[in-house]
Amino acid sequence: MTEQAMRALPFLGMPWVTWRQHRLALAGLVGVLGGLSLVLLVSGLRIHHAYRGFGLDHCPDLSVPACAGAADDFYSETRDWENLTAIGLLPPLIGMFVGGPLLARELETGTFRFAWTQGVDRTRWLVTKLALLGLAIAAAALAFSALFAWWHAPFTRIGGRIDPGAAYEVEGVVFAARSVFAFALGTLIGAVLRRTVAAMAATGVASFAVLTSIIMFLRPHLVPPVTGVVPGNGRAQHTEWVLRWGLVGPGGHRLSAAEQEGVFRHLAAVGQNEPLRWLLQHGYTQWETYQPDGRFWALQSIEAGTLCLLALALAAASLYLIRRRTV
Amino acid sequence: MSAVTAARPVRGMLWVAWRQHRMMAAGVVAVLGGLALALFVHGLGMHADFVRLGLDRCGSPAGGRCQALEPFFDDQYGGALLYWPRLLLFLPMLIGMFAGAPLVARELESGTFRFAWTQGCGRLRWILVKLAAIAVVLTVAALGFSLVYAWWFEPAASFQGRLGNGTYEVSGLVFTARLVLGFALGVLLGVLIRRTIVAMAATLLGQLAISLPLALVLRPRIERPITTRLGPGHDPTGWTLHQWWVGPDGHRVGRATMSALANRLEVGGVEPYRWLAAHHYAQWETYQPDGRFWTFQLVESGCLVVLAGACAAAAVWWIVRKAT
Repeated sequence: MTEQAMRALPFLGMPWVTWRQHRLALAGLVGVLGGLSLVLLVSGLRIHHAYRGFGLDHCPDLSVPACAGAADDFYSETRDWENLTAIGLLPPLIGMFVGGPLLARELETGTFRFAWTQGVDRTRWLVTKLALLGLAIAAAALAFSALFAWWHAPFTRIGGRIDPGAAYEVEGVVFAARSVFAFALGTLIGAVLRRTVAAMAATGVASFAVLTSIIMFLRPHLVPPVTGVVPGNGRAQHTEWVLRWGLVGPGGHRLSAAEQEGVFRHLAAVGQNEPLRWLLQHGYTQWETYQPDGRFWALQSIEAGTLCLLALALAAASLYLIRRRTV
Repeated sequence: MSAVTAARPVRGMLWVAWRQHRMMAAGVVAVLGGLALALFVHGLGMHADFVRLGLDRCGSPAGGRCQALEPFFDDQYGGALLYWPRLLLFLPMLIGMFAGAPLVARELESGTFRFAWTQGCGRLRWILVKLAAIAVVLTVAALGFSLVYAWWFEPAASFQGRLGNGTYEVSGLVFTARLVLGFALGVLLGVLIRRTIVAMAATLLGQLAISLPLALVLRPRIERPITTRLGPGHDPTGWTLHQWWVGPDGHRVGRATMSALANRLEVGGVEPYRWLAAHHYAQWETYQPDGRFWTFQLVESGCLVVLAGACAAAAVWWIVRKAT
């Protein structure tokens, strides 16, 4: 590059390079999220139409028997669409396709020697790439999450959105934070392995392992869960995320696991078809340890914040590896 | 080299295939083996509890004995039984993508095909040996995994069935057939696109474009569904396709109308289901019985394998005739 061209493109040079090198990845990201948005838009209109068709928009309280019945009917008509919450599996793919090859491809093919000798130092080269791509991923994911929140609103009203493995993973800010985290993880793994396909596979496995570990082991304890007695005959509206539950005997003491099993065995032996109803009629009550649906944003912001900090740490580690490497 | 290839025409190529793709093969075996081990360990506890609760001896799944203990079992293992199949059903697509797309695309992209195709071993044998050797490894690994999975799911299969949930995609033959299709499609797209990462992304989308219509459109129609009236003793292991209400005049009643009727009854203090039965309303459904599992598996995986064969043949033809 001539000196004149360098002077003409002092700041926009690197963004332009980032765009030219990664436009296909960005187009793929926008294409996939855009295509899924279209699916959400079309199916969402039908779901909202059915929601109004069952009169649920005129139900201020879903625990009223009439409204609870309508909610059941609405749910049995539309529940197949809830399989779309599988979209929550996208972040590892984003990390795999956008993050994995970012450094691995340059290092594998040797083009890093060209890239790092162009007058833009490596730090700026990598920071620009990470910042721009990370921002693009976050923006696209946040917009998609907002659309998903509209799509899921009727289901949220009936079943809540805090249960793991479903809407929680696509709504709010966790989806975007996870995508950025997977992207940073992919970049670092690429810098370490220096082989594109291997880095992509390792990114998929590692980001999936981290995300499921967070869901299973960390999320239940981000905010201490609530333990309480379930009122009356169970709940008409079940919106919370139940972590553990059990029975309280007619005498008011909590049954141990063995005692509880004994009760169910006894009911099975006498051929009781509806054990829970029988138990509630005979003085038993249920206790449960749960996260209420109202904590959605509290859990989301803690989890997303942690993931963003981890992403920054991973990006710093990539930068360290790249700066240390000899051309 | 010519002496080697003349003496051992296939073994030389097999050695090359092993050296070039052992990392991939090790990765596939590690992922499937690790998951199978996790399922096995988890399954030991689940099977033990299933037997301890006596759920294996309850005869018909609709019997009262199971109905009382099922929620208890479900509370412990319901989450795992729900999430594992949902996640595992995507696995063959990813493995197929990683095994297939880079196979030729990487050689074409980096230029090493010039070296590979000028070694005295013709292109035809080069690609045929690679395709066959990798397909065999993938098939054996996937079938082994499906067997472990089927054993793991056995307790739940007795009251959930295996047709209407993710288990259909992970046990039996469909899992393996999908993996083989993903591999063959990946090789073909790699040959045509000639860029590794783009070919991988295209393979993933292509697999979804094939598997989703097969699952959503073909599967419910492989055999004519059975129409039955719902009532006591209804078999819960079937895969329900449609449910509807029939009124006293013998005509279908829409869901919204039924919902409004049930609301009126409930507001009036009447137990709706009893009232509806007394007034000759009946609920009907079409379903596929669980006994058709293997027929469905054979038909669907047959389609997938034929498609995989076509993809592989096209890839071979392109490499031998067209690629330069």
